[in-house]
Amino acid sequence: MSNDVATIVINGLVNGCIYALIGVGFVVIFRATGVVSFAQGAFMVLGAEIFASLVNDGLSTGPAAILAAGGAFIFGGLVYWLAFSRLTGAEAFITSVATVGLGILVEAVVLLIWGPAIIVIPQLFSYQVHHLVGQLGFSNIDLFAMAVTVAVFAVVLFGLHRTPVGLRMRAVANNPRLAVFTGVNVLVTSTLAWAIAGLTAALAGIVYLVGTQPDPGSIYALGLAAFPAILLGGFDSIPGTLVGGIIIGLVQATVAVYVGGAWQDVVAYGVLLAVLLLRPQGMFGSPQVARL
Amino acid sequence: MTVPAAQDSAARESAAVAGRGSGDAGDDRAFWRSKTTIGTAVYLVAVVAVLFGGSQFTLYEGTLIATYGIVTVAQDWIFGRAGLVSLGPAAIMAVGAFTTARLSTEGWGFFPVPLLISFVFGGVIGLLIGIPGLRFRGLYLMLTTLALQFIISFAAEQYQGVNREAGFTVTPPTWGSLQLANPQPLFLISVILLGLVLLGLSGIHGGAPGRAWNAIRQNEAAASVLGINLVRWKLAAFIGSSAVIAAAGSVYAYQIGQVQYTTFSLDLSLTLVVMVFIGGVGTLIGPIIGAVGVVLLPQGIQEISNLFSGMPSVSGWLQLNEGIVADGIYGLLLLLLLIFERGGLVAIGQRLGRGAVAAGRLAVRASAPRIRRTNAPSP
Repeated sequence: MSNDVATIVINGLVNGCIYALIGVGFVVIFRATGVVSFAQGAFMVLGAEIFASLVNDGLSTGPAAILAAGGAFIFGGLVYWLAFSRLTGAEAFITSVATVGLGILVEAVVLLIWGPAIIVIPQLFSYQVHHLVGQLGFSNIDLFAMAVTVAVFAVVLFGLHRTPVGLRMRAVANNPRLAVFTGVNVLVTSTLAWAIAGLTAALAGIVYLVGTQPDPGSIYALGLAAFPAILLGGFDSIPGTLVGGIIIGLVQATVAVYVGGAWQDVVAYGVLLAVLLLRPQGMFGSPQVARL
Repeated sequence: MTVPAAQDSAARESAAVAGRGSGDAGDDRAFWRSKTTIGTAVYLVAVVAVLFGGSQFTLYEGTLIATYGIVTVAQDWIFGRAGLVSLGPAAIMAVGAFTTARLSTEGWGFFPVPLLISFVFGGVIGLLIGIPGLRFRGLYLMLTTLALQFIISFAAEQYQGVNREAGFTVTPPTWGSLQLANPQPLFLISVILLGLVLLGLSGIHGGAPGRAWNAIRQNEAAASVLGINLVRWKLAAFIGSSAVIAAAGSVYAYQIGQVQYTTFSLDLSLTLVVMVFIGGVGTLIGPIIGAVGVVLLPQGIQEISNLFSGMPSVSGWLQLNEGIVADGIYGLLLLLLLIFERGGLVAIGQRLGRGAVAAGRLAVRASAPRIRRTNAPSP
């Protein structure tokens, strides 16, 4: 296996995992409240900055990640409770523009608190490389990214399909009115959905931060860059978003190696356009999302 | 109220046929009081005031407001009237700006040739965007335009190439000895263009096209059933608004003098979108008020920081972070307006106005002497 292919596979998988983490939160929000959120990037930045502050103050990686994700969890829930619960029933593009406004606001607050410079954290993982499959050498950071992704997806899918809370969320996602009649507290369930989205986005931000050393703006931009992956997988499919994320990650990695790094984003957006024109519901999306 | 006398009815009928209502002095008053007339008057007064009394900086800001105003009014056309949201106005401005920059240095810079050519190119782009736009509305259209924003931005970056880090210089247009890119002429150009756009749009929105777009915005299926040709009207909205936005981009190029792809980023697009919603979607003044607010807000923050001059840490921080604080305010304002007052600042202004009028009436009534009515009202 050549070096190029190895790079493509590893980078593609890791980036794909980040997209998937952003996407799973997005899909949860979309299914529970019907909002197409452009604000995942904002939750990512928040989580990453809190994590960075904690880690720079000496806290170790695990607890810092948990606290940062927890903070984003609470923040996501609050955002729904205070703002988006009042937009229930509004037209789709109104809520989306509202998420754009939210994103701008949070980004501004983050920049005011932490500044626009590159986020610097101490080295948290050794550069040890594990050769798991043939010549594919995964670093600790890569493994961390993939482990977090697998864990999050496992918990979310298990939670949705095997717990009473998950059942209620799926009920609300499926038919909010009927869910109300069966006694589901839609407000609480929707708040929980947004909280989960905040948490997964924060984890995505942390993973991205640990792997690269980005500035807040780049992290925020990633929230939008995940759209091709989400759309490819299907707006309302959680497994789809994982598959979509990995595919886009691999495609971008291939483009980066053979054409040039600058073309990555354009190609991803080209895929997004292609999906919209050819199969709007993506690979695993339900037919209802074919015409949004 | 007494029944009108019989001999007036004939006059009224003929006046109605002539289309001017029951012709008397009250009708002329209606014309002078109409929103269009008042609006035009205010506009002209403001333009003259800035043109002759404004400093260089005021002229600069005024030109910026007018240019953004053209874009936001065009965006309101597709959002507020036709229900099609676009996240890519900056990219379309870029088309106009780059076209103008290149034409100006290649000998085609005679004004208004670049402006007109930008207008045409914008229309072409609008057609291209409109075609996928026919299939989607709302969300998927937003995503399509988001993708186009990135793709066009990337194309501009590639076009600019590695050699031109500073972008393309715009050769200022001249009419004989008159330098058109100077503050005063440029301001005049931008407000004339804005005025033309406003006149054109108020005419179109008030007529059959406006009703067609309104119907499409409210319920596409119903509109189609009523016989409205969706394809034709949606495409018309896209082509028209994109042409206008590209023309604004052309004026913008003259103002900034140096055209680079970084100027026309997603940030600018989002700012332009925010302007429309903050000002008030669905009105013609709304977007302009939004443009005024967004352009002048950083200065407002400067003024506020001067108020805090006694507390240098606060005022210093405000001045340093002016732009970011402004962004935060836009985001917050957008969120609050979308939740509580969809009509934007225009609607808030109207509410305040009505409140003031009602309060005024109450005051007058409370202070007027009591009048004894001796005539019983007629049945």
